[in-house]
Amino acid sequence: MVIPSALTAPGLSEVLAALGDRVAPVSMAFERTLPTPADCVDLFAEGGLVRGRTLSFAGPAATTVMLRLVAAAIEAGGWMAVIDVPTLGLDAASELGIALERVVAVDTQDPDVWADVVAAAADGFEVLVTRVPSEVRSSTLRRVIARLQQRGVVMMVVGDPGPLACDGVIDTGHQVWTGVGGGWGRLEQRVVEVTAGGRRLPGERRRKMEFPVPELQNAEVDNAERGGVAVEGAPSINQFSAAS
Amino acid sequence: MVTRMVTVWLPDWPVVAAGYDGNLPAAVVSANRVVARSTAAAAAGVMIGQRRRQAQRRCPEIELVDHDPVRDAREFEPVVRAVAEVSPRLDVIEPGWVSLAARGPAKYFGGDVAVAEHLQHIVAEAGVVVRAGIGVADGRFSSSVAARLSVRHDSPVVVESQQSPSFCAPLPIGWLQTLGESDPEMIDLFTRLGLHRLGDLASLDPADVLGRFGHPGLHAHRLATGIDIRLPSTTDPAPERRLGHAPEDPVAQASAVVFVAKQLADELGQSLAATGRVCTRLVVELETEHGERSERSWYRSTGLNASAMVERVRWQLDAWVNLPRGSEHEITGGVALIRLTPDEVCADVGSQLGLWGGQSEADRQAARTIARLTSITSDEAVTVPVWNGGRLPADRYRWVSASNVDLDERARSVSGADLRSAPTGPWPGALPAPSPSTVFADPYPAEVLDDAGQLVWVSGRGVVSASPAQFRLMSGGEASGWRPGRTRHIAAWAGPWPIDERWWEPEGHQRLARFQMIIEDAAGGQRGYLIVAEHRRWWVAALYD
Repeated sequence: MVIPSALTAPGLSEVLAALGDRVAPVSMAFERTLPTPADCVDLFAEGGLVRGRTLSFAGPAATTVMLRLVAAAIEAGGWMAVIDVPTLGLDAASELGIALERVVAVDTQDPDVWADVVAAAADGFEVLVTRVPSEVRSSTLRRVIARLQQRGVVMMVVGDPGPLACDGVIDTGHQVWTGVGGGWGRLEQRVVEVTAGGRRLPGERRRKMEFPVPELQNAEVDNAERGGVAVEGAPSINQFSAAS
Repeated sequence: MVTRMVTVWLPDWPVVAAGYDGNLPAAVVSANRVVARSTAAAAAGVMIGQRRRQAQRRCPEIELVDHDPVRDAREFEPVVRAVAEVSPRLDVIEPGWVSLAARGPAKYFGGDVAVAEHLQHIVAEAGVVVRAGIGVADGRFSSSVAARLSVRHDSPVVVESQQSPSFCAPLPIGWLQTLGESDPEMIDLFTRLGLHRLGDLASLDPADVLGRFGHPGLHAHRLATGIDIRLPSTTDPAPERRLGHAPEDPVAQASAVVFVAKQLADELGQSLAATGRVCTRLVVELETEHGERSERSWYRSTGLNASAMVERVRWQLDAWVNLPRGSEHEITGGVALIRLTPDEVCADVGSQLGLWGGQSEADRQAARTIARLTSITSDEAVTVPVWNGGRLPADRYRWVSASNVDLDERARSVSGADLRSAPTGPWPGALPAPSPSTVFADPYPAEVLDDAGQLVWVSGRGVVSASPAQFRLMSGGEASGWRPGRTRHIAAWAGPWPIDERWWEPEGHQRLARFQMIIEDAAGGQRGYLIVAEHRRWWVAALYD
């Protein structure tokens, strides 16, 4: 029922706004997840990578696990900005399933520019991979984080997060390589023990991840067989020591 | 009504623009494929579309240059200006290729042959070292084909009025692909169906062609029959479509002008797309505060999207800025007016992409954000990867400025098929997957020692002096001396895999041996390293982290 005189009552708009906030549909964290690879899903209580979170990575397989976590989101059509990480190995990213045509690198140099770039990149990219400059002020960081949460962008921090308090820490504390010995073989496979913990990832969750990812490898073999292309097995040493 | 057209075509323009005449073997490569080559290289068997390495095998002394469309456009400007003396209404299709209506000039000079000879003369006078191909025929497609044939015949080719269908009929169907009108898959399909010549395709009923091949097929059919390329749905757009921007302060920086053009192009593209149309001929006008003007008409039969329009503005601006001093329209002030006028639009049918292709909202948003990031930082700071190839991880990709890349085209052409299968195709001597996830452009110096603490070294024949057992990073520099870091234990290693690259170039020659090593860190964890030895010096090239 609408009372015409009440429409003009002062303060009504504020009351309505407050009411609107209260009755707005609540979106649960598990409803706001990015596509996450099946073998990483149980690292997160929400069943996937929640939008708006910042994660940092540590340990001897940090970059690989980070790339693996975001691969599904990029595969699904999202774009990835690589800010101040010139060392990212693109071959590895491509092997882990990241579509390189949706990868853009930005080089900032200055901590103030870094904050502007991250805030602007949040508008068009689903995933940001970055290194946090140690000189950045915490007030600036809070502003950046608020922006990321508002836009629902996941930020992956490579290296030391410095002054940034990340929502989660993915630790790749232990890994076992196979395929290489004392002067023979090559780095072929590894099993990484991954632990997810941190402020917003309550309760430590562990699991083992295999690299190269078994499903991706099989998919490639399938494609090759269907297309009638010869499948290259593990190349022998002779094959890849060819000169010039 | 078929328009009679003259086409001027300069063979292998990118090579000429790079400063090579026909006598030196040279080629221009883009994404590792040859896009143009000089006459001498062609004589040695270098072909367009070949891979860099194939070209080098055919012709070892070949000079290879990277493709730079801006350079092509800049060097082409004098030719455009010279041709514009004959007829101001000309369309630049791409650098090295212009067409103009034949009727006016033919009346003035007294016949098509006279125009063609005059054009050949003035292009030669404009300082072009190769001989231009000139073709006159009904319609743009026929005249472009005639221009290319004219290079082979070494004299202008004039197809008499109404004779275009019989001129086209005996030509191979591949011409459609050569002129960029049909994609290779479509041509391949035509060939497999037994349609080897344009005449074979032309003799089919257009209704059947439309039913079987859709609009791209109908487009090919229309060209094959030798009738005008101008589609029936092509209209001259209403004048309100023209978009201009006059900055309050004249803009003196090229990147700022391009930025304004980008906004105009986006707006124009959207307003055309809203009615299902695409611009095929765009007139770009630039005017400075001192009244100098540059006006060019750009043509692309498949339609110009927003980023293609921006690319054209960039070419035009760059050519203008680099005019020799003292020329008539030399730019002396900031740009005070930028105007884009769609001169010819047609229904957007050909570029309709399937469910799985095309630009998603995410792509459009990313493109906008990239433009914004470029304005915050600089052109060079925002980059996208391009496959380069190589044996060391740091060589395998090159970063190019995102504003020089047509992101739409990239999403289509550099799709998974291109970037994933082609690059990871055999590159002899590269290490197989898994690849390192951290790659250092400037490797870190290190030392690898044997059990006794002696430096390990690799002989010229790729033999290791002793089994590597310990590793330490080095810090410092040549001047202050090297200080060893903490010594770590090497748990396992494999190699050496030698590379002997570019031994024919004294400064590019490198002779390296690669090792993969598992090195224990302080906590006892295993870390994978890619380490490179050059005689007695060691570097960490990449990490498997």
